Amino acid sequence: MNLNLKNIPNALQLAAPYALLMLMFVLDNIYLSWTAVSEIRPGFTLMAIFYWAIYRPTLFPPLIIFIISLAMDIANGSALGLHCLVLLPIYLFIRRQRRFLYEQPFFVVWLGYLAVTCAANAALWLLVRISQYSFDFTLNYSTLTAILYDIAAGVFLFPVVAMLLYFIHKMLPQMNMRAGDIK
Amino acid sequence: MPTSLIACSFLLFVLTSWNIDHLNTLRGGLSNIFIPVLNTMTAPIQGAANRMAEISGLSHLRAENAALKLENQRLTSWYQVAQQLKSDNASLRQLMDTKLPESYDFITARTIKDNKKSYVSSILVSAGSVEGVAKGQAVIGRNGVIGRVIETADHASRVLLLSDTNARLPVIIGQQQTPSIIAGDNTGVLKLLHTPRELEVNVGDAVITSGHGGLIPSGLPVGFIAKDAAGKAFIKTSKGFGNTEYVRIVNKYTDPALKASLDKLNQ
Repeated sequence: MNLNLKNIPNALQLAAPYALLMLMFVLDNIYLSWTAVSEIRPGFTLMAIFYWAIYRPTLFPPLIIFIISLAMDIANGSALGLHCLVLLPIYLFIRRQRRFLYEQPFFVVWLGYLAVTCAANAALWLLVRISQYSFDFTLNYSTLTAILYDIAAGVFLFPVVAMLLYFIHKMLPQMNMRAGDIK
Repeated sequence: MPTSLIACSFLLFVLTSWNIDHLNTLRGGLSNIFIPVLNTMTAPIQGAANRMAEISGLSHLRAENAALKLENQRLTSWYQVAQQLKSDNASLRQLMDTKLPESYDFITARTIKDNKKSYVSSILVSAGSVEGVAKGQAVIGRNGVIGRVIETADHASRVLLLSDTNARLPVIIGQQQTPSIIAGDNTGVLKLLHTPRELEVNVGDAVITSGHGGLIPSGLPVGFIAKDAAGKAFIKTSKGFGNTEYVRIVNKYTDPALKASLDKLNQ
């Protein structure tokens, strides 16, 4: 069966990235008691935010990042604004660098994601310590390994998620926009 | 716009970290809206994943059935011993005119989300203030106490697991009833604090809640004592600590007469 993407109505096409972001959010927050793997959080929402900041920033204005970050704070029980203080600056930085990243082969984008996920995990850990009035910033072995597992899982899964996002991206109606149009 | 959103986030972050009451009300309100939505969104995926796990586990059913039969035989004999001990205990208490500890019932809730990141250990459960859950109540997992309620919304509550760095729980250890305090460090190992040096703690000793402080009832199981290579005691919790689809929240009954007396003493 040959799926003709042009037959899908525009509204549905435009809703797809938001639906996928919701799915990523659900995957980040789902609880599966029977698997130890559920303790590793690859950061699916960050992958989606990273991808769209490069390839379709107009679809995700900062307000949406703010709302999704607030939802993450409520789901995680962390101080309100914590995830936004991490995700929004990352999103704005990537959007500023998109002119460079847009033209690069996937491997470079993947490396970019590695840097972003490292920075996000480090910033989250730091802000959680501050919000708990715990100013001892020494990392013990188990905390470090748990953070590294999260990062490794995220980097390992990024190509799979990026492929899904690429499919949705190609499904979207074309826009007359060059990489440098948004700063 | 982005700068104002970052400034707004910073303000929210500072104010909620300070635990300002109005912000906690706002947070409670947002939780009441958001958590049922999250529950609805995750339930189908959670259900499908659990069904898949059940199907993939079918091949182990025969072995599991044999193991359960053996365990059942063993537990039946223990049940008879327990019944005998229970009646002995009741008659001895009656003889000594001992005041029985207050009773409690349970509120069962489903785990909606866990947050066992390397620096925080908490879970979100599907029962809130409407169902009778209150801040400070103990939460029991598969094999013992796993934490206490720290935040409640209408139909959901957040539970701080014992493995969190901020968690503390007064306990007593073994037949010697050695008092101690459990502290988490986000590694899954529960440390013992303030254990009297002159009292020995042995490997395999049962650890139960002491009820000191009045927040959590006494006698709830927590885990068993183990020792590391350096001989330092820690608490070995059951396998998959905090990994449980359903939890029981201890709805402690407080005798009104006892409460009135305590209030009078505290005045």
